[in-house]
This record gives sequence, C-alpha cells and structure tokens, in this order.
Amino acid sequence: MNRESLSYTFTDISKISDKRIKGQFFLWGALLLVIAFFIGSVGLTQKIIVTESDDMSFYSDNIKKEIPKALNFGLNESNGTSTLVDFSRFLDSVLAERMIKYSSIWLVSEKNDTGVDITVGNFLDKNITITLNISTTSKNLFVKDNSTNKTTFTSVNPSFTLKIEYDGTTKTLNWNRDKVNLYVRYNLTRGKKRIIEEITG
Amino acid sequence: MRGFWHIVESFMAITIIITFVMIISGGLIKVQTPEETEIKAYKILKNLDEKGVLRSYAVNNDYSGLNSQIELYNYNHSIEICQSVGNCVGDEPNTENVWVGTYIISGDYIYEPRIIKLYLY
Repeated sequence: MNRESLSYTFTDISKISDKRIKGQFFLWGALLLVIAFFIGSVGLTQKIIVTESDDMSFYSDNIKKEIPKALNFGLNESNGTSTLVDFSRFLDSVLAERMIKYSSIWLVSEKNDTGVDITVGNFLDKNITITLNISTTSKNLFVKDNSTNKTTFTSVNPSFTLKIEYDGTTKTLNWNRDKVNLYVRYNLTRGKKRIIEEITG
Repeated sequence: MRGFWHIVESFMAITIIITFVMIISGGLIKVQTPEETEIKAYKILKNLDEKGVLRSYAVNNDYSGLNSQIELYNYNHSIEICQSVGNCVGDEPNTENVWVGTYIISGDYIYEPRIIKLYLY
C-alpha cells in the first residue's frame, strides 16, 4: 500500500463518518416533527373534550329520583308541599354552585272533604298565571315567583283529567282524586346546554 | 434536497411505529377527562345509594364511615357532607387535580336533605 492509496482511504472514512452524522440529524429532525405532531393532535382533542360536558344529565337523573321522595317525606311528616318548597330552594342553591341554573314548576293534588286541593309551586324566576281546568271548571291562579298558591276544586270524579296552561306551555294530566298526585317540570341550564324534564306520579 | 427526503422518510417511519405501538397498547394510553372522573365519582355515590348504604351515613354526617365504604384503587378519595351550600363536614383535599362528584339526597326516613361530595385525587 503506497502513500496515495492510504490517503484516499482516510478521506473515504471521513466522508462516511460525515454521512452518519448527517443521518442522525435527519433522524432527530423527524423525531421532533413527530413529537410536535402528537402534541398538536393531543391538544386539539383535549379542547374538544372540555366543551363536551355531560354531568348535567347525571344531576337530572339524581333530581328526578329525589323530588318525589322529598314530597313523600313531607307527607309523612304532615308538611306536604312545604317540604317541596324547601327542597326546590335547596336544589336551586346546590346546582348554582355547579354553574347550573335550576328552575321548576310543580303541582300537587291532595284530596279534601269535597274534592281536591291543588297547590302550585312556582320557581321559574318570574310570576305566572296558570290556568287549571278540571271537567267544565276552569280557574286562573296567580303564583308569585319562589312561592306557592292553592285552589280547591269541588265535585271531582275519582279519576279526573287536569289540564294546565301557563306561559305558553300546556299539559294534560290524568290523576286519581283519592291519592296524592305530583307533576313537576324543571329546566337545567348551563350556557347553551339545557335539559327539560317532567316528573309525574 | 436529499436531506429533506431523509426527514420525510424518517417522519413516516416513526409515525408508523408510534401508531402501531398505540394501537397495540390500546386503552393503556387513554387519559380520563375531568368530566369522566366527576361522572365516575357520581356513579360511585349512586351505586352506594342503590345498595342502601349511602343515606344513613349521609344524614348522620358520618363522612369517614361513608368514605370507608368506597373501594377505589386508582385514586385517593375523601367525602364531604353538606346540609346546605357552605355548611359542610368532612375532608376537602388541599391538593391539585381534584375531581368532585356530587350527589343529592332528600333524606333517609325523614326529610333531611344533604349534598354528598366525593373527591377523587
């Protein structure tokens, strides 16, 4: 091996080494791009998930079960609708803490000596006039916000149909005179999301 | 120009490898969102209610007793019981990344409304 050929070999080795170093740069560059790509995609996914909150439906499920229980506890303690008033205000404050606006209207019928008493609870954040109709008798009942009002219907059949109308909403309820009946309609609102539910029993 | 194509090739190769690894590992990489964790907490409380365990502890404000009924290994947990907003007994964890599930009851045998909060952290 002469001096020229030895020199050529060293140059060649040096070129190969340079190529390896360049290759590492390409690899690191690609790795950085991949990391940036995944961080970007994870960031986008998280943004979408944050806007999709479904906890309101769970609260609704919870409330739907508890309101009739609250009335039953009240009836057992001879407090009836007073308990429902208290529980409505309780729900309002609890859900407000979770940034959920709770508003409701409810009706309770209880048998009296001559017919039925119908109590209306208004927690809709505004005063309302509700029209109550049983058979041929129709009554307009003014109910202030965050309070109740009561009216009595006489000569009511054992099974009767109560038609209600308030604030553009109508509902027909088939109730029994000799038992306590409950109708609740509530709204849960958070931002643009809204759940409207009814309870009958 | 050749360098550019080397980067593109490497990028594709690494993406394919990572995608493959993610598919194989499946749910292991899944991260629960705050909403999912809060709903999980709610479901734990609901499940205890359906078993008939929750209400007696809640109306007696026995937060440690109720907490001991919860079997959860992935998270630390504590319970707070409130008679009204701000009127609470229990352990509210003083740490970061705490998720809370809230369950409302109207009473047990009598009307005694409570808010039960399960903190997961």
